[in-house]
Amino acid sequence: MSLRTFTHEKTRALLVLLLAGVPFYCSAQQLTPVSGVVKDSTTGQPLTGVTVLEVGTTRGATTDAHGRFTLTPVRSAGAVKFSYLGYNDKLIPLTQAGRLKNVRLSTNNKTLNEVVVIGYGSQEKKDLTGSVAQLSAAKIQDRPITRIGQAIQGQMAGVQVRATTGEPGAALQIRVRGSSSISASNDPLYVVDGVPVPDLGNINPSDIASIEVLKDAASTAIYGSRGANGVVLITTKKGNSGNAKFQFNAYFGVQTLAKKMDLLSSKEWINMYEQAQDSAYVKEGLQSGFNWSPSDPISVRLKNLGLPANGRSNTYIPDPRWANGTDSLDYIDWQDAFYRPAMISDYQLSASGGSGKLTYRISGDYKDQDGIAAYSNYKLFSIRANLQAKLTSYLTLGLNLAPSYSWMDGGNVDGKDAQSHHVLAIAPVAEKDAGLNSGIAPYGRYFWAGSTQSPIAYQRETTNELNRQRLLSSLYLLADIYKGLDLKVSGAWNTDQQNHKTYHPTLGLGQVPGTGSSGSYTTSNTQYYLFESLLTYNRSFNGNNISALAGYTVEQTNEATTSQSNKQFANDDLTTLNMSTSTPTRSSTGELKRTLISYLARVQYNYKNKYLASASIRRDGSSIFGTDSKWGNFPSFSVGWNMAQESFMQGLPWISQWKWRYSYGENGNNGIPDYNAFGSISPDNYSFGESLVNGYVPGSLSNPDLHWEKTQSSDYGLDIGFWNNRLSVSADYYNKYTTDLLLNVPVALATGFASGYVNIGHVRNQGLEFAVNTANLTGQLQWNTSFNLAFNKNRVLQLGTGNAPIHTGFSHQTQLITVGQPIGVFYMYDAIGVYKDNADLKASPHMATNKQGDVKYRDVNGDGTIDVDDRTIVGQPDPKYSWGIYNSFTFKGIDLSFLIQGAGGNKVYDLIGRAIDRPGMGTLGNALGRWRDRWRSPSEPGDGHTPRIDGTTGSQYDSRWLYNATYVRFKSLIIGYTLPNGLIRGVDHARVYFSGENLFYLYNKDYGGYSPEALNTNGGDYGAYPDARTIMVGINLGF
Amino acid sequence: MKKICFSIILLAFAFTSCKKSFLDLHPTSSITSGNFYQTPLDIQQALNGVYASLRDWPVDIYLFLSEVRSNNFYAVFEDGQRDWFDINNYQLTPQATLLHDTWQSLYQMINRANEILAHIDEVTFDDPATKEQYKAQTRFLRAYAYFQLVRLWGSVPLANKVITPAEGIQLKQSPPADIYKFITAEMNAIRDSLPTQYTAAGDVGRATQWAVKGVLARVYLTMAGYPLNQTDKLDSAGALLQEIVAHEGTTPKLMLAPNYGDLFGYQHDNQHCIFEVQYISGGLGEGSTFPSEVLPNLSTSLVNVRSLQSANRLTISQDLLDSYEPGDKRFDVTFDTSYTTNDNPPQHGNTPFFKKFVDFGLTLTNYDDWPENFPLLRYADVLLMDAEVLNDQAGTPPQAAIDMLNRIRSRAGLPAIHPATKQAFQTALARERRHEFADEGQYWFSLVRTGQAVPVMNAWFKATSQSKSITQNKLVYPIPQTEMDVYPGLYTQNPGY
Repeated sequence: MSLRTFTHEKTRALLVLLLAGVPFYCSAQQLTPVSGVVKDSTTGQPLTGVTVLEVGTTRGATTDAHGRFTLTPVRSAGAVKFSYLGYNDKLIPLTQAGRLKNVRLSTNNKTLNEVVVIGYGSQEKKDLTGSVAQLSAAKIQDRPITRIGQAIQGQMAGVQVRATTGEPGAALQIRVRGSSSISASNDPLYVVDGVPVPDLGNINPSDIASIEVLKDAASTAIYGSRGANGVVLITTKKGNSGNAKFQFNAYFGVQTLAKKMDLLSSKEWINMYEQAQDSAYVKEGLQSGFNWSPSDPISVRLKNLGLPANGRSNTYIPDPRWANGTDSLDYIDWQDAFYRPAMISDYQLSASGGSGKLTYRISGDYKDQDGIAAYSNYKLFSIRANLQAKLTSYLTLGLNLAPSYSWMDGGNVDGKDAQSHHVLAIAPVAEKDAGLNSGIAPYGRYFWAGSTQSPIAYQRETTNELNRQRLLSSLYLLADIYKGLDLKVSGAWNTDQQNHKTYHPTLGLGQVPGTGSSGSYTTSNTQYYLFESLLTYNRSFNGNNISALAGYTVEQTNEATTSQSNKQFANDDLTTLNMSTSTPTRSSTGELKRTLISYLARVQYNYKNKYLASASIRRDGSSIFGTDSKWGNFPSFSVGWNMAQESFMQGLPWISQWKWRYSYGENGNNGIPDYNAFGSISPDNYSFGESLVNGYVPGSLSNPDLHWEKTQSSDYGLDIGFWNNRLSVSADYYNKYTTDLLLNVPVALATGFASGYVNIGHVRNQGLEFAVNTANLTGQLQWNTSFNLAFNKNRVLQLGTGNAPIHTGFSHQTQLITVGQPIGVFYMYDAIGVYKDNADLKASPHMATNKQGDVKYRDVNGDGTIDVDDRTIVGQPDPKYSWGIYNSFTFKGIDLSFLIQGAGGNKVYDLIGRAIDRPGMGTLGNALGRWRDRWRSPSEPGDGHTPRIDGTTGSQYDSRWLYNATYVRFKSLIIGYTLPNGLIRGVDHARVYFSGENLFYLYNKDYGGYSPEALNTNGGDYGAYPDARTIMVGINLGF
Repeated sequence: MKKICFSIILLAFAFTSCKKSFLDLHPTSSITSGNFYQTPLDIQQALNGVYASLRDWPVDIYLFLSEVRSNNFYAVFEDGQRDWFDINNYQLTPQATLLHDTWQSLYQMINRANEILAHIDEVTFDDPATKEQYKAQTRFLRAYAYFQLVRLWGSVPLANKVITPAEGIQLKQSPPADIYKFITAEMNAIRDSLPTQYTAAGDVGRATQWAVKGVLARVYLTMAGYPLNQTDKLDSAGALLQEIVAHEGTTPKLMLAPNYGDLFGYQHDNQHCIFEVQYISGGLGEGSTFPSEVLPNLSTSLVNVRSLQSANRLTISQDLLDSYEPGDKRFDVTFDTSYTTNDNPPQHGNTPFFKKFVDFGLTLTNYDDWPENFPLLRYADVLLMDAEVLNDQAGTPPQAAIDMLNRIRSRAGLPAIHPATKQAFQTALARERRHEFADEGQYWFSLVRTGQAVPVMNAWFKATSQSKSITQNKLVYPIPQTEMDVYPGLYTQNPGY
């Protein structure tokens, strides 16, 4: 049965059942309503949003702005439970109705009863045996977050978030407990409200109730072949019974370039140019047997070169106008011109509430963010509706719908050969009249510069639009079958349509519009279906608490892509493609289907919440893998001991929590491209007799045994709390051992292929994590601190045949995967200076071709000469540690919080720096500022690190662009003021705030690029979209 | 009761499972190795794929690894940005991307051929002769790829069948003599299997019998010289060349076109050359980049033409320009020394560039879409090789050899010459070859096999004050570092790198 028919059948069945369910709607006897007011027991302030629930029913309400509630109970002998975050629950029997009039809740500092979302369920934090990091809405909602990863960064021990690009709308890189894979994906699995999604794009951060990151294998094994990199669970907010509550949030801000790179000024560039021309001129003379002097004036040079009196040559002859400076030419600082202050604004409105059997929360968000790069912009419009209906006493129906639409304009900034690269590479001098339009008609390129066109004009004139239409939807039916036995049947349908349009008009001087133009339109459509049945059983008896789960899930993804490109247009009037007015260069469609079937089971047990145990297993079958290895089993178990509850600890009342945890589990990583098990045959055409003939050639190696990577990991944890948990500490040690790595192993090209996927090799990640939470002050001035710190040690333990090291990175020449080292250590020549003169050259080990003024490399093997064997390991790309410290203060209505965050022990390879900086790059473009201190002659040796302008090591990869990536960043600061209650009539809650994101580095000693977090091309930073510093003001209104 | 019924229905529904085949998915928008090589059409398309590899040869092998290596080019500016500077300056290291790319392209071509040979016998052809022809073309092209490999690198791994990754790291290099033995055995096996010419549109440009014999003659001639010095191979080369010369005029391609200028340009594709790399323009991805690689900023209707000379300071050497005799008609066909650039305002340019393969006035939208074919073997080459063999075999230059040399000179508008000694003839022939085939990538390989590369290059370095000299180590390239690194100890690096 194909999934389509399968899905149809299931959907039909579900509908029938739902309809059939309606008659079951059972009405119970209604009693007299009760009402009252809920207040803080110490301050006497009314509490807004307290959940009021009739125990054992779904009958509930929430308190309004004045703390008032009304509830119509269904059982006369029942009880009402009041619960509110940060307060102790209170239970009042309906028989004592008088006590309901004035309810006082007392605050608690305990977090023991917090509920944590885990895979396919939730659990009270005190019963948790796995390692799960949680971020509650409180830490997200008061901060203007544009990307979800931003919320997590610095907040969770062992969850490393890296802002690899500053591009608006782009995702952040999330790594849970290091990288365990070499060739497959290291991204965690993202799950939104129980439904796996490929990324977190287009999701409104304000809709999030909590983010949980499952870190250890016992927690992630329930996700089987996708769990090895950790699981990020996003739970969205639901409505609560009660009157409609509205929340309006808005913020406005301005973003500016967080850090500028040091390049040569226009004057310095000219100076370097002149020196290069002198050298070329002398060499050209030598070729023809003349001794031309570098001091020859322009007229002599023209004559010698056989050029007319008005001739020019950018190789040999300076621009005579250089002498006049800005009187004749425009000197441009392209970074200042290209990166501009950019506006950001965001408006969110939500309504939530519920009456009787229906609860809802509906929200909308509109975000408009200009990028700091000229002519770049991101807009997002999203809606989320979470609805839940109690159909009968035992059936609950839920629907979550989240459509969204985003527009990204003016892409093409991030990465190699994109505009951020050009901004740095373009010559800082232009013709006086051309200025910022240099190279764009009606202005030609500056004769002494390269062909790079003004990146600003380029951004203005070209079209690069990516829009994304996404719908996340899920429908579930929850049935209370029999005393603690529940069945949840759910279906999800996620659709993602992305359209990418580009148009590059003909911009050069003297070119006929359209002739050099090119345009493209690509689409990708992804349809994802999930069907899931979960049977859960919860039972408590005589101190034994059992919770069991059995489930079955089927997932299918269908992708369809189209791609069209045309060039040579009739004119540049239209930006759409039409084969009658332009030449098609590409027209193709693609299809892809991926399936996954899983069975899962879990049992959690505890005795008096003291002795805890849990075990789970998942069996996954996936289409991604080879015909011979489709199925895998992923077991786990964990145990815990709440020692503080033992009688021998009762004499230590200041210890409020002492829990030991241990877990072990196995899971997998299936993050490789589809169909890799099959050797592909690719088209490679040819022509005979002036006509095209089709050709097909082997495209990749096949491997029918391909299967998932297996990770076995264990986790030892300790959670301690003192003084009612005013101080709580969590510590974890983990050992994650990955085998059967999906490795894209280089193979001898004699096979016809450069590499092929195999399951081979072992990697280990070991680490320590600490999380400390303290309530430093609890009086009128409250001060809370949370601190987290994580260390990760990554080692490759085994590789393919003979443990042959694998060269990787940029052009396979900057990084190495080798046994005993972390994955992808930087491997290159270690630059230790410059040969300051011929004597130094002679006395030091060197390459045969080296000259004085060249970069000097370390003679690693000590053989007295420099060659490929002197390349060496010079650092690792992934941080050895990461940490964050978050402080929050409240005093009366004022709140202040700030986050300082850092990572370190790693290096970053600044490929963009290398691209514009290699010795001998020529002078047609700009270079790094350090060239002002270059080696000029033995008597002018410069800074001792920057070589001569025409050095011979230009093609080498060396450590001159390798920087220490350790940083400490003052990431965010928020100061808010909440207006006193009742100041504005009809408004329950009003807060205004000021916030700053990416404020400044406390430590980032020597990174030459924009951000030490940047990462885009083969382990390096090749012109990432720079980070923006954002200053914002915002309001939160609840009414 | 209702609740129970309902629960049972729901449970039954919840745990229905689907078929096992649900997981057995195959690619729907790409072909896999499991279902290809099954029909004669598959084989024909796979063979076209082998030919497609030839498109990498002109730029990578004939321009950068041959012309740029020789004293035909001079890198003024010490520009480390691209590999060609290092090639010209003899600073090339095993990390050079171009070396990797060329090695990869040639072994891909060999693998493409090996896959055909592994499957072709299982395919039923209506016409067995077609099958034999496909096989012969495949074997020829595979042997030709090995000829490039052995000329460029010396000892290289010899994969004469499809090999797995595990076999790949067991396969060591074979010495040049073994590689040459394989090449000649393969080409000899099929030397008479192919037609003398093709007329069907979809076939014009495939390897003919004459292409096989001409290339095989060049292989023998190379074996007779440096580094193997198997002088007995002169006779083998001579026999093949004389067979071709004996058939002069039997096909339009076995003739010396009267006008040198008519040999080049896209209008003359497939007219005068025995074997050519085929290109067509039209945005199909089948165009040539070769002409663009040696262009300055020209004022033509061409747009987006990537320029090598102006941006990267790789100029034609004065030595080459000065070596032409006055009145050599080939000079103006080969070079442009005075032109207008597309700068603003337009400039007069006088830095010479190769215009042999540039069709002026042709409107292209991209630098990589030139339609000109690139010659791999021309009849003039056959004549000069034959003249070389005849002279080398004799004590003094035989008249037949002198006649052949003078036919080439006469077409170039130059007077006949009569070198008196064997050595004088060799010198004259070397110069003729340099001029006749300038920008066609033949010169460097001739220098190497005739043992002239080291003295010629060192003399030029000295004359142009380039403070360097080379040894025989530099006559082959370093094995790409990526290959050295695949399995340490598998390959031995060429000495001097």
